Amino acid sequence: MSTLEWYLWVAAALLGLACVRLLLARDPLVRLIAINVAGSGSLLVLVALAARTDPPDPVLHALVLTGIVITVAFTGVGLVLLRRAEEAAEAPGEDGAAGNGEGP
Amino acid sequence: MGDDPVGLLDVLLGLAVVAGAATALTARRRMGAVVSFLVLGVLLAVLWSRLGAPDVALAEAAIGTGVTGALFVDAVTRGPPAARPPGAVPGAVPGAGARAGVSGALAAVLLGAGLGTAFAGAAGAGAAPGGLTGQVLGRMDVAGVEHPVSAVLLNFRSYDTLLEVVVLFVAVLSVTATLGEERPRHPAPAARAATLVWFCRVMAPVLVLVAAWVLFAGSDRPGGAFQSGAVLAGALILMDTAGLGPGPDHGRLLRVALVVGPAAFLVVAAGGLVAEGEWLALDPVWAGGLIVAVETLLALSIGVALTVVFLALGRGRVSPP
Repeated sequence: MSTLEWYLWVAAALLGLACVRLLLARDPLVRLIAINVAGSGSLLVLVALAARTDPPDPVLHALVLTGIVITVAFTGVGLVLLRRAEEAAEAPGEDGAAGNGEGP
Repeated sequence: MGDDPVGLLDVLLGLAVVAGAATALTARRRMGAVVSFLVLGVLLAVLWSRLGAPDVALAEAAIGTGVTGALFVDAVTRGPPAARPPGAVPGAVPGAGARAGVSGALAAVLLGAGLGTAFAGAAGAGAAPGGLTGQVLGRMDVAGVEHPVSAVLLNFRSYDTLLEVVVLFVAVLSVTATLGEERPRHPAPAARAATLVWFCRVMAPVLVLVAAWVLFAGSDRPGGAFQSGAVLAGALILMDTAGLGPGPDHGRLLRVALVVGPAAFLVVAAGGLVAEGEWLALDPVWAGGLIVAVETLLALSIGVALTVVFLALGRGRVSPP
């Protein structure tokens, strides 16, 4: 097995594990972790393919950098929404500060 | 290195990454999942440098593990320990958990095997393994910077980078929208550990210096605006934990810092339209200076954007007095 094939299989394992957990996990925080791991799996495909040439393909590396930044952006939004939802679930009807009455 | 037979180090690293991911995805408690995910990030950073991608390794360490880690740890330590008690799931059938576990594991194995076969087959059938390396290296004389990845990010494919910054900007708008109207922030508790405050006062200037170095290193070696912005965000988040971070009266300053990077990028993009007749085109004579200028302002905006997302996570709700 070549190094490229090995890392493609590792990426496939990450994607398989993460996609299944993304669909089955009950805790939204675990789902966010799962989508991050799935993202790492797809980035691993790109970096492994970039390593076929010497020096490695800079366009693929730039794409992966973009992917990492997009990942942190949606993870941050997801965590903030999760926090707001849990705050609303914790104290139903008690939120007198702003009067936004989102239920759990 | 692609065609070499797989070495022992690669096997161990690959297995460690899969084991780290499996631990993060199956941990019973939130904190366990988050800590395993952070370990996975460190392993991935090692893997990226092993695969000849030092830029990606830097970004993974600074953004993927550093800032994302701060976000996750903050979410877990300040939020409830679990979304809801395990027994309280409506409609849960006894024994369904074990059955779901077995079928989930089976589905993961099948999905992984299918994807792996497809990836390996597609890589084997690849006719031109050269990719775009040759095209990029052939145009480095007009790029304005000496590092190929920076040249791709800020010159050859700067449209991608512009939109990436816009995505970050939209994320900041989304999280600040959940804050509703301006709510008075509770004064930070006065009793901060003196060691923490002292440490942050010493470390913050050092981190700003590191951020600047990473930024300017990007023109001829791995580094650049995104890694630098993440280090800057790390400094600001660290200062926030010591009560030294941005407060309510810094709102205007933060807004200016957020907008200045994307705005400068758009000005340079439009300047290309005027001077070169093409959106985002850079004159090779001016390219180097323009790229460094845009990168500097972008790093500031990226650092502030990541910090604002972190602050929004902790500051939404006024806790009852």
